[in-house]
Amino acid sequence: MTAPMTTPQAPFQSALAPLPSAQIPDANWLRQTLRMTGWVLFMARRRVMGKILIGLLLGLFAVVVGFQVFIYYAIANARVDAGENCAPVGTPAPNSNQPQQIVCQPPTQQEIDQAQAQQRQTANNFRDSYIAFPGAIGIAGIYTSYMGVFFLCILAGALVGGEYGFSTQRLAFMRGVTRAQMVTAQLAALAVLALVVAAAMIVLGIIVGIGVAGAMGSSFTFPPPRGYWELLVYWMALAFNLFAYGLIAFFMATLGKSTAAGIGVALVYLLLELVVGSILTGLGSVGEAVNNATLKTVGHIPDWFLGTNLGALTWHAGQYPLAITLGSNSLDPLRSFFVALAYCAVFIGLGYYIVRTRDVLD
Amino acid sequence: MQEAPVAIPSAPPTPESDATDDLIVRTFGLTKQFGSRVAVNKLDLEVHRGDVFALLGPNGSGKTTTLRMLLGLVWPTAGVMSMFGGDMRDTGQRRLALQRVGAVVEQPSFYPFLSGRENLLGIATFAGLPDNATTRARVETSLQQVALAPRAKDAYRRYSLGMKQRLGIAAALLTNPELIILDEPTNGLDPAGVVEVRGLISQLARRGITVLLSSHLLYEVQQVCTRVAIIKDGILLAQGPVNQLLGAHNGVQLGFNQPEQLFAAVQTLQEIKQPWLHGAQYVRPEPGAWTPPGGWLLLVDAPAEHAADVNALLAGKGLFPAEVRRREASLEQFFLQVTGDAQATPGMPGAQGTPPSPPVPPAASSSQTVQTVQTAQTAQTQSPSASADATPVQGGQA
Repeated sequence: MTAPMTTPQAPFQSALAPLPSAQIPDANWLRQTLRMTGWVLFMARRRVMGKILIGLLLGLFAVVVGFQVFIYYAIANARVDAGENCAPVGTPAPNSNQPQQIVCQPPTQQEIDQAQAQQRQTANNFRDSYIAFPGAIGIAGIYTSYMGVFFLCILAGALVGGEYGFSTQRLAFMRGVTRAQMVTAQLAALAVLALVVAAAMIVLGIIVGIGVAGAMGSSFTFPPPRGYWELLVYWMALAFNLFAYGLIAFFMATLGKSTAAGIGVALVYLLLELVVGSILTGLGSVGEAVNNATLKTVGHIPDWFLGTNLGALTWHAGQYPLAITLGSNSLDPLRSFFVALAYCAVFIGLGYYIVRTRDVLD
Repeated sequence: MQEAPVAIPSAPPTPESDATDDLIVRTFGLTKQFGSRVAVNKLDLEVHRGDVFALLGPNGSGKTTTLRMLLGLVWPTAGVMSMFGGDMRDTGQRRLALQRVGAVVEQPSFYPFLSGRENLLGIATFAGLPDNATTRARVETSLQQVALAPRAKDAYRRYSLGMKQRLGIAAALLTNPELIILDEPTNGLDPAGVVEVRGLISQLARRGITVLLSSHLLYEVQQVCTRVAIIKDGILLAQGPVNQLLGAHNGVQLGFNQPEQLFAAVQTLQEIKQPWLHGAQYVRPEPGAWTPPGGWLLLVDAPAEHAADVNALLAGKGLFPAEVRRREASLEQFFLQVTGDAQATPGMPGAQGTPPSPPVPPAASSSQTVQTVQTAQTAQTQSPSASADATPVQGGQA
């Protein structure tokens, strides 16, 4: 008996089913670009790498806060050493080989209390400066300007380089998306990511500053109206910091047509800027000490670095009235803004030029 | 003799002219140079509305580069392109034109970590479709059309090669395009899939959708395409409707048991004046086919439906062929001949390396019936439509 014949399943429907009513594609440049931006953000959300990076960013921040809390309790609970009251007793005879006799008395309770109060004050000062509001925002900002930049560079490199790696760029171009729309969408998505990351870190800083520090006995007072404006400006400055570094990843991923180039070069640039900047600043300090004009000039080279200017911008943004940012900075904020802007213009311009003129052969 | 099928436009296209004469795609002098290598050389193409147009050529002939230029992926070094009457050099016009196109170029590429459905939603975004229920319904319909609905949630990276190809076709169909560009659409498909794609292309053509495709599967192309262009080394060798290009090779094939009857048949056909009888030529049998004594057959240049008439005319003169059959020219043979690859193809008559010798019937020397003995080489250089394995003779109302 022969086996019954089976009909193989056809991969295609035998007849094309009618598609739903025809829709006219939206020809509006801006709306289409906004949709593209949404798509790039969707890709960032769907990528496993994005989730891992967010997890790492939050996890490491928790570690930083935990370390600060640990320091606070370490200071607050350290054994109090009020010292002993020691004083010489009597006067040794002249030409005598007898050493001066010193008698020590244990500290009085009052002295111990004073030392404990001083130690608590030190711990509280630490808490109020670094853990409580608004100092925690400054810590979150510093953390973001290093680790946030690090992670955003990875994400930006992956998003832009991935288009080349997966050969998916052509999907958009073949559908009429222009090169300018593609670049604009990528940059807009990068800006949104920078704003979101900066906002999230500031909010985390506020939560730590109110919640964690509050649990540690810190009191919270609402900032003055001008303080909210400062928070807004600080947020923008921090986001600009992230965005500007993300542009390096964007440019290098575009130039190298790969995720590795985008991430690798951006991170190497970040590291080099830090190392070279420190060396040059050190040489400048030596120049100040020995009054050497050349070394002094060399010491000012980092003033033109991207990171230095972004740092200055962020520092100035968080100074009044909340004094979110710590330390000091002598660079003019307006000059820093324009220097950083020039970097951005170069990276965006070159990136767009490459995309605009390059053949898509992948 | 049929005129050369290569159509050379006399002037570069203008959006206005293309809009009026229903040209969907037109290129004029289209050239692409990669460094010193010229990938596409002054290519003139014309794809009309409703065409199923095949771009044929050996590997590296510039097919994909041409399609990429049309799709705005590769910038031409020189030349003009218009699509739907829009000048493709203009960014705005190119954007509008490409929104009316669906395409799969080489291996389809999608985001590997997204599902098939999400990838199609992405294509809808790129194509400018709004994110609404209609678009989502369109995505579902497209998935069903290529039988991927059951795997719509699976990540693209888990798809087989054939499924990836089908998703590419679904993406091309997603926006109800007026023009579909398919670069090697059957790559990676199993035989059933190839047949289905062929059916799909036919259905698209019936719907009035213009299809521009490149393929190596010449048999498949011949089944579905209305017009073809053959390029080699970036140069256009032939372009025109398939039936016109192959027309010179269609006819009624006669085989005789006696070589003398073969020549007598030629004389008879020459004397007959019939509007449908254009001539005849000696041809070698196809590989594996019956070979008559003498080794030659007679190919009568007449529509195949007149096979019975030819037979009747010869029977009236007492000539009875041992074989009468319709001979349909194959695009494959035509392609190999035009691209000059015929001699390198085993089994092709021209591949034997020696020019065919015409039969020498008794009266041949005293008759002008056999006019010219063309070698395969001369046939190629003189006209792309001349057969490499044929020896033409004068007959009828030629």
